[in-house]
Amino acid sequence: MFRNIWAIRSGRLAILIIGIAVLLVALGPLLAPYDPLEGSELVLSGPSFQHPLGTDYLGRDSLSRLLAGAPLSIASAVQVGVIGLVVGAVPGVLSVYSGRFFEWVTLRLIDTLIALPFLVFAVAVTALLGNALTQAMIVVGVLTAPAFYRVARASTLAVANSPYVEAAQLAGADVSWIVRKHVTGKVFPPLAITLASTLGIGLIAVAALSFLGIGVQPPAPTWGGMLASDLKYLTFRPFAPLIPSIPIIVLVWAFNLLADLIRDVSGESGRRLVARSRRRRGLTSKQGV
Amino acid sequence: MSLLLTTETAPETVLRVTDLRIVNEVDEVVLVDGVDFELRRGQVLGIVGESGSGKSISLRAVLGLLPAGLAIAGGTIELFGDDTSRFTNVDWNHVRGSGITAVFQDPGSYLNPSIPVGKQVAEVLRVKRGLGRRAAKAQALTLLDEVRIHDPELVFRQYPHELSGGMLQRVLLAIAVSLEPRILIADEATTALDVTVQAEVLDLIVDLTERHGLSLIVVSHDLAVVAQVADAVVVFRDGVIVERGSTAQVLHDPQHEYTRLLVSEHELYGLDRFTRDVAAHVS
Repeated sequence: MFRNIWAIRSGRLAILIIGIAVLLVALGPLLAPYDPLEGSELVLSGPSFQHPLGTDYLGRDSLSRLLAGAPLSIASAVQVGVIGLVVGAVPGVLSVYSGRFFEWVTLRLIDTLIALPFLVFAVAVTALLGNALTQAMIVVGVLTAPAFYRVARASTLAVANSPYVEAAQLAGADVSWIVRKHVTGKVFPPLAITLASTLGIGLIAVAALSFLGIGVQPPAPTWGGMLASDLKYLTFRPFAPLIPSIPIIVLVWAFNLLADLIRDVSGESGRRLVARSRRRRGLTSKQGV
Repeated sequence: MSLLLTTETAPETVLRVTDLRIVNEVDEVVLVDGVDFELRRGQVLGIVGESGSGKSISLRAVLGLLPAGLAIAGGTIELFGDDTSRFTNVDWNHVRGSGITAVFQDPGSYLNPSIPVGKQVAEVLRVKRGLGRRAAKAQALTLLDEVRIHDPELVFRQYPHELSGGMLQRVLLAIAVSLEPRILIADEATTALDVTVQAEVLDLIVDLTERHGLSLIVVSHDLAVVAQVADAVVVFRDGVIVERGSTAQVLHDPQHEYTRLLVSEHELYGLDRFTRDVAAHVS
């Protein structure tokens, strides 16, 4: 699948952007030219050679804070996605096989989660459990679970009623065999799409929460937190909110693009799409499909 | 089970269906009403009847795979002497595959389209027989060869969409006999195939039946198919059995009006007439 996405031009772009983001998570704090927490006399300055993106209201270097904030911002988006995936997809598959009672209970629970407003609920829970990033991320992750649950359940239902599952039952297959052999393969592509788009949602949620002062506490650098503090000094540095916004926007866009491409390459029309862009690059369409 | 000890003189009954009633739980329509039949070891039973006559539903009940919403409302099904109404899921998983199995119409949809067919044959052997990867593959190749696939190595790696209907039905037969079951149900297994392939597959089913000592139930709405292979025939109509007897008896001296209609239609449009005409032309 990776190779197929790479074969499409926009797929290379998405993978490149996400690759840079991964590098930033690993190396961001090391690349920062200044200590992201260290203030200086030079407050609210514009771009200069010493400070390419200027300094904030405490004289801290914006570039350093952007780089140092990358791991927290991106890693918590991933945390959100993974929590949502596990909390949603596993009961989603099991709901088809674990009897009416489990099915009914999980369906109602998921309905409830859908009804809860995202940020308000996250604010409420952190008020209850303590204001820390992990709590906030678990809440947001659980709130993204309905999407995974629905997707996993729908594809499992489609497979569960297919003749080839019946054929497996005729060979004496038990549920675990059917799930391993037939369900996982069918559930994976739609889940990958959901995961990719949830990562975008997660990134925005993390930024929004830290903008509201929930999760990461100042002075720790995060993209959302930078946005919040820069907004107060808009008259001095009107471009400043763009510094964290642009990476957020680009990364969310890349995640969504990736989600679209995963959808496109899995399936019949996807094969044609890949073949076409291979031909355009003078490659045969036979390789690695 | 004491089945292996019984003498050859009276082949024991492997399947006995008594007064089976199947209803649709939603609208309480009775689909099958008081059906009895039995199958002895080594016997080939033909089941004939039009669509909706209850023949497939009855066999699904025998396999424990009734579609959702349908339920057995009365009667008993005994598989190898055990009443299946007391079977748990584990019992069913045990008896299906290694005791009773089936092949159906439209073989393409009974294979997972995204897994090579050979792997699907091997998988059954790995899970149910506990064979290793390599042993399972070797066994699968033998099975593919046994169902007269010419290039087992090639077919092993192919996906269902790369194979014809006849080939797919062969693969499914390979899976069906892989666990050495004692009953095989061929429910319209040759219906969707064209005539020459139909004959080949039917031939293969009979051959496998003899070689593995299977008891066979052939379901078809085509009298010709049943006439070629079955020892005994039951005729379904509207959820009841309207006629039963040895194949020769039912075909040559049908008692029920519906069977008579089937036989006469077959004489009008069937293969025999066609071959007779061709023979007349040639001579």
